[in-house]
Amino acid sequence: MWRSSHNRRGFTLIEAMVSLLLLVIVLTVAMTMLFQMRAFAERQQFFMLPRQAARRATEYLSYYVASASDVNDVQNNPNALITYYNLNGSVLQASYDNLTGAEPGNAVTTPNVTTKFGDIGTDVITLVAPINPAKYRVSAPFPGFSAGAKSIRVNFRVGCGGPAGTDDVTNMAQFKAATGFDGANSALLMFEDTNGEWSYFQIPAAGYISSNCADVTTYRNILVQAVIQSATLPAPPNGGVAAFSDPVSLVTGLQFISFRVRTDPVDNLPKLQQKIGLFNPNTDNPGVEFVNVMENVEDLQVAYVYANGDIWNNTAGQTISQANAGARCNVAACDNRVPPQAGPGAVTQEALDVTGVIGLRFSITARSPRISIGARQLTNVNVTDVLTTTTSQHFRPASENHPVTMDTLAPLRPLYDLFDHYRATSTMLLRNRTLGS
Amino acid sequence: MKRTTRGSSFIEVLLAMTIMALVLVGILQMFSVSLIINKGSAARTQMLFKCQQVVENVRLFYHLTRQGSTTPPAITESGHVGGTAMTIPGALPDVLGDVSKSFLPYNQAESAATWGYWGPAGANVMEQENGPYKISYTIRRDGPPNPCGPSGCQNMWVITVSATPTDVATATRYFGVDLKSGKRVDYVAQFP
Repeated sequence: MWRSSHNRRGFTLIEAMVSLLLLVIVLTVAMTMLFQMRAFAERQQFFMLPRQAARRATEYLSYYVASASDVNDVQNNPNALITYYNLNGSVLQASYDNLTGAEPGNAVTTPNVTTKFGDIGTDVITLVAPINPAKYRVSAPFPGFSAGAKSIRVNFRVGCGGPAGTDDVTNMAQFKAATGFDGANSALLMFEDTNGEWSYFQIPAAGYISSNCADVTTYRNILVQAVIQSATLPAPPNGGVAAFSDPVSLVTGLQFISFRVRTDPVDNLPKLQQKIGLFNPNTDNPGVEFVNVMENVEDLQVAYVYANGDIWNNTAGQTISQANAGARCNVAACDNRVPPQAGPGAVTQEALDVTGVIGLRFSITARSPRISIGARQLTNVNVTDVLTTTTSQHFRPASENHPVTMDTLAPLRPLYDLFDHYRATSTMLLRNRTLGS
Repeated sequence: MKRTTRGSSFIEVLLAMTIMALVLVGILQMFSVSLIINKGSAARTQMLFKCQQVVENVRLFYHLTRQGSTTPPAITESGHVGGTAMTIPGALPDVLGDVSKSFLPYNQAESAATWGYWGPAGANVMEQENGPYKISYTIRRDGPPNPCGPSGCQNMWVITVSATPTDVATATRYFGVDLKSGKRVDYVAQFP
């Protein structure tokens, strides 16, 4: 085969150099743009993560706050928010403001970061949300609050109506389900009397005695035996009323739930945590009952909105205390910086009693993961501005009465770090305390 | 068969590189477009959240009014420019079809009193002075044609909260999102 031998010369040196130079220029421009885009995208991710986390946590809490209720419409849901309760004769605090570690039962575990109850400067809140609420009439007369197990008969017939001889079994099973029986105890329940006075109640496994579907005259269908006033059961903060007025109702389907923010020692990330149950300063230190809900949540702040429009715990000067509130809150409990809870019955209530709260304004501050080196170039992490002029978001912002942590070495500067921070706030009416308005 | 075995000419190489550069620029432009779209979504998500918070706060004023309680002092100031001045919550429109419009303060200078409530030290709906969005809301009296029956009058108000990217040139602004971009968010809710 004949092959042409002409025109087989390659590029001249000049041509090759020009070609390579142009190629390098094109690739340099392309790569620069590519890397910039990658850095922008990464920066955007760090920018968005705390916003998403804060909004997500806010939405999560909003569900519980908006629906908070103990299904006690007579007294306008007096125990929907819980700041105090009684256990074994001691008044325990269930909600806290700006943890310091100095609270009874609490202590700092990591200096400047966390305490046994939660992270320094964060709040703890306990409330009641009805998840499947129902009221069942207790047969009169109510046995009273003296010591010892009491027999309580309840009008509960959900499982009745089946074949004779088996419906009692079904009815008891249904009653156990309705009371949240977990094999050892029922969920925490409540009694409410005709005047709206209330108490806590819990049924042990041995307390589910019998069902009697055949009783269609007095409707004493379920018999339970349990101590009503027990050393191991919570009681209203003042111990409760001396006696209930019939008729009394057994309230089921309530979820007592506590929220806090605590840095997880496993991965050193601050997390929103929740516990199904009342916050117990004797066991939740940190205890094992709180579970993680969301990570990178570093602050929970709660301000209390009262029915007269006042908002408390939103600034240092407006934080609940005897000094700040004067005659509106004039008992020692006010100095714990959360609304006092006098309890049911004809007790003297402070004006700032928790039963007067009709809304919560809560703020969640979240942070990004530690900003990568590439993304740091696009954000001024080495800022040295003082707090009053800074536009940086690389420090935890002030939230309600939780001020910014200042740099101890440069007191006018906030304590800058390598995270993006974002605060989301939600104002929520306690819907069930506004009924009829 | 006669075949040409010569290589590419210099002109051909230049042409090829030009085409490659154009393609690369096109591909890289897709990154920047997606970044802008991403920023726009983030902006709208934030504005939607803020609109929801406005509704929750107005629900609070509404409740306080019906209780006969005083509202937070900053809230009783009349509305700002651009619509019928409205005192919150005292002047919910009481005629069917009436509309009241209010603007949230954009900075402290515009309204020091209301800024205290809506600003970062308060409800935190406006996160910063001269921020990237502006918020206004209208409340319209609505209801059935014959709203009063045996159980009373069925009053109903519909609130529409609107958030738009700022049009202030010197303000903190969303990247790639301005008033002309159409990134307005409306949120509608109802009062009983």
